[in-house]
Amino acid sequence: MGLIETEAIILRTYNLAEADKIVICLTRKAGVIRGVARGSRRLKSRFGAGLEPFTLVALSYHEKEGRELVALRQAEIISSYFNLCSDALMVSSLARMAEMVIEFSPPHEPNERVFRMVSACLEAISRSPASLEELLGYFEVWLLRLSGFLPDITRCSVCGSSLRDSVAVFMDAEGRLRCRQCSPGALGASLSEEVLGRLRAIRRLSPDAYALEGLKGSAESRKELDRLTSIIIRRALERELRAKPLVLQS
Amino acid sequence: MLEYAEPVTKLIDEFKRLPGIGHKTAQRLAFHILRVPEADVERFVGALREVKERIGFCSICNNLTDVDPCRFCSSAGRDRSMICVVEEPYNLVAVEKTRSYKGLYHVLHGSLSPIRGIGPDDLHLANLLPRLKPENNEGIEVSEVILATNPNTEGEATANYISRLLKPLGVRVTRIAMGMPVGSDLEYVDEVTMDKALANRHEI
Ligand SMILES: [Zn+2]
Ligand SMILES: [Zn+2]
Repeated sequence: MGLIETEAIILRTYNLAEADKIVICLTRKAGVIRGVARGSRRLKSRFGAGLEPFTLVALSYHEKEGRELVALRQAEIISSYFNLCSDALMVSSLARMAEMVIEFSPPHEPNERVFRMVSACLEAISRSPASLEELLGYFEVWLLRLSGFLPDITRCSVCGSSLRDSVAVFMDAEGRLRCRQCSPGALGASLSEEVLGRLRAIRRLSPDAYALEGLKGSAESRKELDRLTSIIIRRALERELRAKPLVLQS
Repeated sequence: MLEYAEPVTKLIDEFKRLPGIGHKTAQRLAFHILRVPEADVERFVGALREVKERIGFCSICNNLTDVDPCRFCSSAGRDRSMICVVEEPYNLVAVEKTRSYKGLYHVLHGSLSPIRGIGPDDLHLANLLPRLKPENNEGIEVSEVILATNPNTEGEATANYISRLLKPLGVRVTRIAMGMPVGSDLEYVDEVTMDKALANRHEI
């Protein structure tokens, strides 16, 4: 097979042997792929800082028939977020994003919307690092939505009535939303009006616009959104994410 | 793997457990061992056993050592007012090779890696802060902590984390410069490295 050239976001790297790296990245043309970058840990490697996690690069690689690992040839930096990474909370949050992309994307399956969404979120985070938590919420909701795990937030999953008209909204054991009438005894997790508002805003707005909008919302509802996505993620993966936001405890 | 006698297979398997060694290399190493004189093998086994029996962590700086405190921490010739923080013992060797650094060290045995689930508690970090107190440092005040973690994402996050722990204590915290490798060519340097090299420029 010949040389493949595509934009890619570096998600994770592992050291291999003396001077090589295994690189997992999200590519525009081929979805999540795994490749070997020979010699990439050498001082004068042609990869330079291009394989640091979260870098957007113009990637070229060779694919070999029947081989899961591709051979990386070049990674020319388009946007580097290395300067963001001096902060431990930032790195751990980006690591969480990377883990989610890896877990929710079937390998070698291109998904243009996921690629655009991830790049837009990285761009937005670099423009306003102070909105990191809002943008992380935005990212999680969109990734769950694009991978089909986000429940319908507009209609009751049982009777189909608009959830806007319900006095209260509940999430059942299967992760679907129900109106008040269809939740006898008010079973399941109840969703506040504010968190539903956040979900609607996320669907409607760009990451930058949501970052502004979200900051106006309460910290309470941000935490509630966080709990909600965590429940859906846990249900989808049947485990917790390994990467957890790291805050300085002193 | 049934083609070799069991002890050979066992040896190959042991070599394969070593980092960076695949099946072919393990096989080559095992057959090398079969070929060399008995005495060489004894020496090799002795070295393995000795390293496990005699080498431990220095209780002050976490360096690998056969005496505690290690030779750096107990040397009268080292400048006790400086501590250089590195990720691994072999990084310490790299700094030591310059022969221009005369201070003490602190070995973390890793770096923060949220992806691999390695947090601050997994690093040998707890015994760094007490070292800054003169009473724990032969009466000498530490005036500078140099963060020499790797110039990559995890090393940067680690350095930033430690600097935020130390800054409130009033000690000067510095980060080793990132930039151009000596002997390279500007033409081939990526923009992140170039950016760091510009940011770390100095008057000549
Ligand atoms: Zn209903
Ligand atoms: Zn020591």
